[in-house]
Amino acid sequence: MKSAFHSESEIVERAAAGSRDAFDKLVDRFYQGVYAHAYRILRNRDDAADATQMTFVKVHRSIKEFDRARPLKPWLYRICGNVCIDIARSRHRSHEELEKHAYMLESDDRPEDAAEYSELQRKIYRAIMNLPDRYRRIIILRHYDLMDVEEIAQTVGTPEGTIKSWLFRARVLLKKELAAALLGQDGFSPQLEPAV
Amino acid sequence: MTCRRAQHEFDAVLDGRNAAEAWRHIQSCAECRRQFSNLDYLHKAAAKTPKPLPPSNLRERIARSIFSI
Repeated sequence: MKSAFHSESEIVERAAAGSRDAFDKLVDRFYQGVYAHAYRILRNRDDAADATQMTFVKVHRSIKEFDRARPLKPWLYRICGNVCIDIARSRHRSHEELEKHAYMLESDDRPEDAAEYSELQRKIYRAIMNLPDRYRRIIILRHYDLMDVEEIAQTVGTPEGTIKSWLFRARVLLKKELAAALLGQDGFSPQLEPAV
Repeated sequence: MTCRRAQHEFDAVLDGRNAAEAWRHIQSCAECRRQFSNLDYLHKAAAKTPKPLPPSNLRERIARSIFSI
């Protein structure tokens, strides 16, 4: 008989004790979000699928060491982020031709070109993708993965104060990119400079 | 509270967390109100963006890579 799991901590506890059923539930709950996160970092479907698979293999290997007093999502996304970095580095190391790993900067596999993206969402997405890596990652975590500052800090392994500063700086850059693109959109005020 | 400090707390305000002081500042400062409104606008637009969907076999791939060893 299948057991019912009600809370994240119960799932983690049972998965750490070796329950396959519990680990399956953990994967079910998170794999689509982890994939979406990897895709937004790597901008390549195959690499994002590989990253997701590798993330859960690593999670399975190390879940016994996970501190159950902490939330699971930042830990998962931290592992995913490290896997994505490894994948990006391996692409460089294997000396693939530039076109194949240039997706780190500008990809042919452009999720924002999907029909279901509105013009506004496309502009915002492109502006975010043009941010420097460090800022791009935390803006993705904040606005697409919907993490709060505390979760982002745990995911990135950086103090909350630093995350707030990075978010602030990232938004200054974003405003410059978006001011022209969003001029005239209802609800958006185009003035550029932040108050000091 | 300064404008800069309030802007560092914008995310807490967006999430409805303990940020009463920052919220009061936003209410009383036209520039911060505009900045906050822009951030709210961006946050909502990004949150509504469709999530990239994984390949249909990914769930099975993950299970196979973990449990079939």
